[in-house]
Amino acid sequence: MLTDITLGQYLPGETVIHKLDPRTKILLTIAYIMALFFVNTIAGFALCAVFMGCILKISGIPLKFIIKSIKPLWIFVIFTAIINIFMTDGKIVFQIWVIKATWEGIYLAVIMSLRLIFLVMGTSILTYTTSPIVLTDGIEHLLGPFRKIKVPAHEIAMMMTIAIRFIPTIIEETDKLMKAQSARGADFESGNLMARAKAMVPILVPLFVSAFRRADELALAMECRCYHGGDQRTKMKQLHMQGRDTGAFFIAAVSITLLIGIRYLPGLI
Amino acid sequence: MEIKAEQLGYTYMAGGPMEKVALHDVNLEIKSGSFVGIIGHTGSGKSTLIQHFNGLMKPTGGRLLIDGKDITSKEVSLRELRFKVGMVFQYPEHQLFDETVYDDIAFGPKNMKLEESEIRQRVQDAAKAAQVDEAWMDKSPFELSGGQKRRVAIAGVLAMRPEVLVLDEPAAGLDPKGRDEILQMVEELHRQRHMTVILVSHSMEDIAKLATQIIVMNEGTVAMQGTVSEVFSRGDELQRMGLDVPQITLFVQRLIQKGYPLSKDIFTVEQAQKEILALFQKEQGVKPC
Repeated sequence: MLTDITLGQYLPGETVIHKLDPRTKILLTIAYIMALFFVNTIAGFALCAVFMGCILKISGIPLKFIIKSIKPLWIFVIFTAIINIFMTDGKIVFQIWVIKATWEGIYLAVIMSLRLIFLVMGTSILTYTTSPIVLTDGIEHLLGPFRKIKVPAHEIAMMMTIAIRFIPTIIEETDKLMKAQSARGADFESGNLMARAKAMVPILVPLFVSAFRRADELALAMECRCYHGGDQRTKMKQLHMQGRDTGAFFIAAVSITLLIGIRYLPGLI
Repeated sequence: MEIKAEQLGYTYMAGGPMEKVALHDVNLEIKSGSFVGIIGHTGSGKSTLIQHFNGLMKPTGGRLLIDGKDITSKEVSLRELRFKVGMVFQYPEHQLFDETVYDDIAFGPKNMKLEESEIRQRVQDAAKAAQVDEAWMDKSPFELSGGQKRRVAIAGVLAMRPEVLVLDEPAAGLDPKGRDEILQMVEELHRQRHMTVILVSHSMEDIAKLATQIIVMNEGTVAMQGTVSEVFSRGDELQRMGLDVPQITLFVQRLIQKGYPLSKDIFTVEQAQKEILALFQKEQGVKPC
């Protein structure tokens, strides 16, 4: 019942996008997100769609996975769209009592919805093409400079790695507990909100107990192998920037300039 | 309560890219009051199979009949089925959650919406059967030792007074004493209360000692089905499936090869002891001490 959740949604592959240095991918994703906020025309988003399409094509991720990642977003999209349509001043399309919809509102709603969708699309390409371990490694490197101001970069990355690694374990455990308690007649599907919340207690208590037990065992196992974070720690797999990373930065720079340019271009001509 | 499977099959994530057939063409019959042992190596489909018996899983092919009724039909209430078929999962102590041992054992009966006095009666009865000490009742289950916790968890299932008791590796991870106690308890439940017991185990010795019928699972289907002597007389086939016959049976087979006239149908140490001593007596006229 819980196996449908797609967490740690990495799709292994051998494409250029997959092989890019995680630091490149993280930085470019951040740049892409920032650029998205400059895009405010339909033409801009069309260009965006072309870029995204190219990246999807190269990375070989099926479109259906991207659609799946956007799906949970629709509540947000509808919510922001409604707020925008009815809360923006301008030329009125129709009016019901004091609530009025405006052309400007509709336009803004479309822009905002597209922005949200493209935002999630971009970030899900990052998680689809980068394994969680490599991703945290990249984050650790990028946080490196902040160690000077006492940001525990390595510890943060290690915590993320461990958390990601335990997600499937905990899902499996939840499934087992739900079955065991259903076998004793527990009912998770009927009753009001209070009853349902109460029905979760027999799942959550043992789940927490076992999570603590696992954490304890893991800590012990790490200590037994003399684990410690910090300065003297070396890595088996070093990250190296390569030609393709330089290429990616170049292409991204051109694309982002274009995206931002499209906003100011009509005014300049 | 009779359990019957007809061409039962179960496929995980049917139709998806990760499709996996766990069970196919399973035909079996478990009679009321019998003691059935299920053996099979890891991944042979034992756990998936037993979860069909109380409707936690529903067959994706074929039928599972309880007393002649299909479990997917509307006549069968899954909730009531779960009270009738008690299921003890592997490491059942991990499911304990309530504040006191008493409340935890009472969880099942409470879900059955019974009277307070009836619940009390059942909890005490189940505690006695599972050898749960009266003194633990007001303690937190988390204060108990591993073996004690397991007995509390089994009592939690027994308190529903099921007609059929399914146990998945009930003795796994226990010390020899805890192991004997649990298995002895299972035997008593079968003998004294005439419960139908279905025991999944990796220990051929335990199965030989307790079960009257054996079902051998291999690659998602029933490979053999029969009495203890019928199944354990096919040792070679069992070994090919990654299973074995009890150690004592191997030992007796060696003796037979050396020319001692012993019976082939020896599956427990007690039987072997009796036979071998009888042989001594006959051959040398020595009285067993």
